[in-house]
Parts: sequence; structure tokens; C-alpha cells
Amino acid sequence: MPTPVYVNSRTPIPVQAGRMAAIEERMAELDRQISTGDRLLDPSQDPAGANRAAMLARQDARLAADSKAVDRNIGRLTVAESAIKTATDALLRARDLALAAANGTYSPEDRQAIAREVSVLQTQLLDSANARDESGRYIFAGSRGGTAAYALDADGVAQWQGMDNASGAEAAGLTGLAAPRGPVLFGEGNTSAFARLAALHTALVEPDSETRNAALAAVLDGLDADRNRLIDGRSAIGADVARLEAESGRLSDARLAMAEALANVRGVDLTAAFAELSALQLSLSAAQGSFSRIYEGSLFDRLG
Amino acid sequence: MSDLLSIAQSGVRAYARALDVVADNVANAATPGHVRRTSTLVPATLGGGPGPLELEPVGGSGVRLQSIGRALDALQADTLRRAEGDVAALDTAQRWLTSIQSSLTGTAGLDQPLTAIFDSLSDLTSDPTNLALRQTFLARADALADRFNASAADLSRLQGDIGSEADVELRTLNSLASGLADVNAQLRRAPSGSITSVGLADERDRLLAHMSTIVGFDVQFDSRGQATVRIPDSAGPALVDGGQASAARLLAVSTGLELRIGPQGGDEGATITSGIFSGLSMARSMTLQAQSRLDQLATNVAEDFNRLHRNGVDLLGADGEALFQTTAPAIAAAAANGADARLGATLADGATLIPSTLHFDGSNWTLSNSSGAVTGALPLTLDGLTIASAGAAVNGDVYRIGPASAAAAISLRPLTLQQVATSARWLAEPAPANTGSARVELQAGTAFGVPTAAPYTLSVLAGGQAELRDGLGALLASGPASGWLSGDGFAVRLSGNLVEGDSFRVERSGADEGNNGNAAAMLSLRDRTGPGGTFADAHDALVSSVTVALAEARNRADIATRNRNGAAEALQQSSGVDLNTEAAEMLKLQQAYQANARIIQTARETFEAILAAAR
Repeated sequence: MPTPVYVNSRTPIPVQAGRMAAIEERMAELDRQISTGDRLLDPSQDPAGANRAAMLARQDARLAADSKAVDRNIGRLTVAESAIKTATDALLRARDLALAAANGTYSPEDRQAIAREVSVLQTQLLDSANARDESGRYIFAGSRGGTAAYALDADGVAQWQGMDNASGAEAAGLTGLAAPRGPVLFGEGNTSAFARLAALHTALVEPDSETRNAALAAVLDGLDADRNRLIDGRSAIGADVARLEAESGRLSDARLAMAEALANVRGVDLTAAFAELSALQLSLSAAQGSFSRIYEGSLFDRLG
Repeated sequence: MSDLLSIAQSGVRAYARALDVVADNVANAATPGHVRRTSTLVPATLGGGPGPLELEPVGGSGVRLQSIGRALDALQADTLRRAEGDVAALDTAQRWLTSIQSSLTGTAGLDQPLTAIFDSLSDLTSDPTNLALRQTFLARADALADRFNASAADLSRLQGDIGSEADVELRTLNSLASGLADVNAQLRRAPSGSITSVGLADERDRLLAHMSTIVGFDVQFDSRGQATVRIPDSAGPALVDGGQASAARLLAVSTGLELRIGPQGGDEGATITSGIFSGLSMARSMTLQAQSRLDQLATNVAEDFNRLHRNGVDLLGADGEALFQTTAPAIAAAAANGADARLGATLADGATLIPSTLHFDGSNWTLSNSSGAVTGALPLTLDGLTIASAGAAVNGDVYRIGPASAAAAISLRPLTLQQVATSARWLAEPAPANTGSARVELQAGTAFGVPTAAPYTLSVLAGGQAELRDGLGALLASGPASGWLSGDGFAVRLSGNLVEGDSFRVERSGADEGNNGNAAAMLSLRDRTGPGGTFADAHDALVSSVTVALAEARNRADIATRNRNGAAEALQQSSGVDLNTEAAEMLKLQQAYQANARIIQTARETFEAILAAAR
């Protein structure tokens, strides 16, 4: 509670003590600022600055979150990319095998062996199509990532189980950068890469050479189309990753700029603070010195 | 010869009295409120009445102490009182605003939890099915609600403390007023110019100075020095008039505090212009403002999140529920209660709060509302409201249970990790044979009265038209593809490259859906624009209103203190005791006293010489 200043000859004493206290208070505040490096410990010292600092901090948190979303998506797309590469390799190997089988010099036993390899390739393709991201979600299953993207139907052909699109970098405000849906990469129904490998397998065990060769030719044409779809998909992912990396770079630049701006708003100018501190120390000792001089005594001391 | 003696005697007497005054001044040099005394010496003339401090002067002439005065500059004293009121007002405002500020900023600020909840929503948008991220989201929503509760509790505690300080100051004002009335009564009886009246005037000024720190007023002095105090100016009601003091009361109103003077029923309103009351009034209105802004923000946060969360589908495939509970019971004890039992009230999830009353009849409690009542020992439950207690109650105690303010009531509902609705409610899948690349937009809508069969098919027709059919082929809606077509519980539209014959399957989200549509929708609350701006904008406005007011109060307090100090020093120059002056005065009076004593001695010698000559 404030105490009123009453009239009396010693009134100047509390007034001057108050002035000295004000100097000491300012010194303590400078000391706090210097030791914490934060100029805005008390927002009311500079409401506009504090508001700006709050906005910058918020923006910074947002950039950090965006950056996390972008990185997460890059990670997912990288997994997708390597899965597609494995799938492409499988199809390439299948094409080589189909070409070899088509030249007619192989015995039925050789073709049996090739057919066994094709079965392995079918599994390899299915595994790539059922690739999972770091959270264990199936990447190519759209939003139904909790279950495998492809499952074998009654005929032993893998069919897409997914729905809609997977989650991408929407958190960072970027749409359309999610991992592609399965059918975009592997086709759908009778024209899918899985149906193609199944057809290759069937052709290889076909005893009639004419039927076999016709089937193998059809498979070869189809395999090229399948491989092109995967390659297109892969290059699209490459473009997406490039875009995400550019965004990631922009975000880190922006965070750097934000940190600098924040340091400008919140930071303490140490040189100025130390200069002010020593100036205040000087005024305080001068004020104390003159005070004690002035109130040292009165005429009564001189009276005999 | 006896003239000579009596003249010298009057001198010795007068100067001794004057020396007393000097001694009094020196002794009280550091006494707060002591105004320098002056002594007025006048020639004692024949026929002149005696001074109040003198015996009847005997015959002839000489000197007498006419009166003791106070070297007070009334104008400067008034200036100091006004300056004092301003300092007290701004000091008080500053003190309370600092508390309000610290209940809304720093570690108590809402900024950090608001940022954190959006951070975790951003994570959830990237990876909606991740249970750890869902846990984080719920924990942060809980922390946000807690922070609202803590700030609301802080502000209401501050409001209570402001009220208590106002009560204390009001009692002080009333006791000062009756003290002043007493001093007035004594001043009327004391002879003017006497040592008594001077002492009473000092006391009167001390009381006025103290009063000026509580409330701004106007004071008038009559010839006897009695003070009439009116608030806030000479046209206002009188707090003290002569020997009469009126009772002052404070009312808490929405704009701060209202001062009323006079007996209840016949009281008059008095404007508060300065003093502690003014600071408290400002602090009270600032707290009310902060509370209403905080409640508004809490309401907006809860309503927006609840609305969006209900639109989504959770990991179990169910529709999202409300995220935040927005009502909570608050218990208010009746003012006349004999004891203060500590009661706790809880409201069951999903229950509606019906204002209720709790009554204790000495052995049993009765909890009642408009629709019914239960009686027995606590805890008692009625319509989802449960009251538990600790501590004792007295027969007749009554408690009222109503809704708590939005910021105090907001809390996270008991949701499981799976119940965070991150997925959009509806999903679309293009048919394998599609050749175009049209984009489907879906939003949750109202369900049909008669349920239809899923899945739904949206087909593109010629001329940019589209139709929506249910699983049995029944036509649900048709129209331009770019407009919203209403289905059973959803609305859909198309954009982009429309090719006739393309179709899309529309299906409701199921369990374990990895779609992030609803998480992204909630995340977009971060950037929602509108008249109120984003939550962050509303929060900044809340904080700025306090910090700016505090910064202004601090600056004005600095200036007011400087003014006050200036006024105090000016008054000191004219009215304070200066030891050097007193020392000089003392020497002067001492010499005069000695001279008069010497004259008495001389008179005696002369008298003895005459007697000796006569022998």
C-alpha cells in the first residue's frame, strides 16, 4: 500500500532514497537481462516487441512442424522409390526370362526351372507392392494402409485392397505428394503386372509351342508397358522428392531467418547494457555521495 | 521602575515561549506531518486583550506572543494531496496488472500449449494412425484445457483479492473519515492560534493526506480550520462535514468499482477520480475484461475443435465425438453460511448441467433442481451431478451449483487413443476404367431419414453434369458436377478434367483408416481467418490488452511519482523545519531573552541603589 509523503523537514530523504532505489531497480533489471540474454522477461516492458516475439516464436514452431512433415514424407517416398526399383528389377528379370523362353531352344525342364524363378519374381513383386513405411503402414494401399495393399485372389493373382489416397505432406500445406496409389504403379485387374507374371508362368508350363509363343509375345509386350508404368511412377516420385527437398531447404532457411529475427527482438545488446550498467553505477555512487554530504549536519553542530 | 520590571518580565516570558516553539520545531524535525510552527510577537499595548497564551499583561507596554501559527501553503498542500492520489492509483493499478499479466504470460501463458496442440496435429496429419502421436495429441489437448483452467482460476482469485483489498481500504477510509470528524469537533472548541489548534490542524492534515491515497476528494476549510470533504469535487456528496462523517460503501460493478456515500437507501454515487480505489477499479475492470476474453477464447477453441472432431471418423470406424467438455459445475456458498465445508462437484460425461441447490438441515443434505431432489449423506448424485464433501457444515447452510465460466470449465473428454478422429468421414475411389483425372471433394452432411445402400457411385454425364446413385442403383441426386450433390450423410462435387463415363465409388471411412482429412481440417484452425482472427490472434489480443495497460500504468506512475516528489519538495521548502533556520532563530531569541533578563537585573540594581540612597 503506498504511504503518503507527509510534510516534514526530512521529506526529501524518502524522495531521494526513492530516486536511488529507482537506479538500483534498473540496474537489477539490466543484470537479469544480461544473465538470461532475454530482453523481454517482462512483456509489459515492450508490449509490441513481446507480441512480435510471440508471433516469431509461433512461426518458428510452425516451420519446425512443417519441416518434420516434409522430412517424414521424404522418408516415405524414399521407401516407395526403393520398392519400385525392386519391382522394376523383377519385371526386367521376367522380361529376360520370357525372351529366353521364347527363342525355343529350351527344353520343358529348362522352362520348368524358369517357371520356378518366375514364381519367385511374383513373390518379389508382391513384396515390393506391399512395402511398408516406418510406421508399418502399407505405402501403396492409399488410406487403407493398415492392411496389405495387394492380396492374392482365388486365382492366385494379387488384387488391390486399398482405397483413396495415403497421407502425404498436407501438414506442410503441400498436396498431391503422397506415395502413389497401387494401381498407378502396378496396374489393375487383368492388365496388372501381377496378372502379367501369372500369365508368364502359365505360358511357360504350356506344352503347345504355338500357344506358348503367342502367349509369351503378349506377355513381353505387356511387361514393357508394366515396366514403363513403374518407371513413370518412380520418376514422378523423384520429382516429388526433389520438390520436398527444395521445400525442406526453404524451411531451414526460413528457420534461420526466424532465429535471427527472434534474436533481434528478444536479444540483449550486451555492449549497450554494460555501458548503461556502468553509467548507472556512477550515478548511484554520485547520488549517495552528494546525499550524505548535504544531510551531514546543521548549524547546531557549529554552536559552541 | 516597576514598569521596567514588568516590561522586561513580558520579554523574558514571550521569548521563552518563542524558544519553546523553536525547540518544538527541532524536536519534530523528522515527525511526519509536523508543519513548521511560527510564533508571532506583538507589542503589548494598554487595553489590548491578552493573547491566548499570556497572563493578563500588567500595566504599561512590553511584548507578548500573540499566536502560534503553521507555516503551511494551503495551495501546495492541496497539490501534494492530488499528486498523492494519482501515485496511489497508478501504483495500485500497476501492482494488480503485474499479477494479471503473470497469470496470462510466461509459463502460465496459453501461447505454448496452443502452439503445441497444432504441432501434434501437424504430426498426426503426417501419420494419422500412429498411436504415440495420438497419445501426444490427447496429452496436449489436456494440457491446453488445464492451462485455460489455471488462468481462469488465477484471474478469479485475483478478482477476489482485489475485492478484499478494496474492503480493507474502505474500512480505512471510513475510520479516517470518522477520525477527521472527531478532529473537526475538537477544532471547533479549541481557541484559534493556540498550541492545541495547531496540533489538531497537523492531525487533520495527516488524516487528509492518508485519505487522498485512497480516493480523490475536494476539501474546504472554515475559519476554525474544520475540513469539509466532498467526493470527488465540491458538488459531490459530503464524506465529512463538520463533526459528521457519512458511511462510504463500495459496489462491485461491471465497469470496476462504484463508491456510494451516505446511509443505505439514501446514499449518493461519488465518482472515483484517483487514489487506491481508482487503481482497484481499473484492475477490476481489466480482470473482468481478461476473464471475458479468456472465456471467449476457450469457447471458440472448444466449439471449433468439437465441431471438426465430430466430422471425422476414428480408428475404430466410429464417428468422432466431442473433444472437449465445455460445462462444469461451480459451487457458490451462500453469504450467510455458518461454516465453510469444502465441497467438490463433478458432472458426468455427457450430462447437462441443471442449476441446483444443496441444503444442509443439520443431519442430512438435500440436493435439488427444477426436476427433483435427493436427500441423504454426501456424496449425492442428481441428474449426473455428484457432490462430495470434506469439512463440517452447519444447519441451514445453502450452496448453489451453477455453470462455471467457459475457461474454468473446459476439459478434455475421456477419449481413448483410438477415438481421435483423424480420418475424413467419406472417401472416394476412381473406377479402374476412368480416363479423366477429375478430383473428388467430399464433405460430411446430414444423413437421410430412410437409410440408403452403400457404396455410392458418382458418374460423370455429358455437359458437365453428374449423378449420384446408391448401391442398389437408385438415383440420389443429379446436377452440375461442380456443385455439391447431397448423398446420405455426405455431399460431393467434382473438379478438374471431367470425362463422360468416368465414375467414382464413394464409401464411408472404416476402421484403421489412414486418411488424414480430418486431422488436416483441425490443423487448418491454426490459419482460420475471420473477424476474430486465429486463436493465436485472439490470445495475442488478450495478452496485449494487459501488457499495454501495464506499460502505460508504469509510465504514468513514473511521471506521477516525479510530480508528487516535486510537490513534496516544494511544500517542504515552505512548510518543513529547516534546522539551520531554527538554529539562527534560536540564537536570536536567546539573545533577546538574555537582554531582557539583563534589564530585570538592571532594574533590580537600580531599585536597590534607590533603596540604598534612601537609607
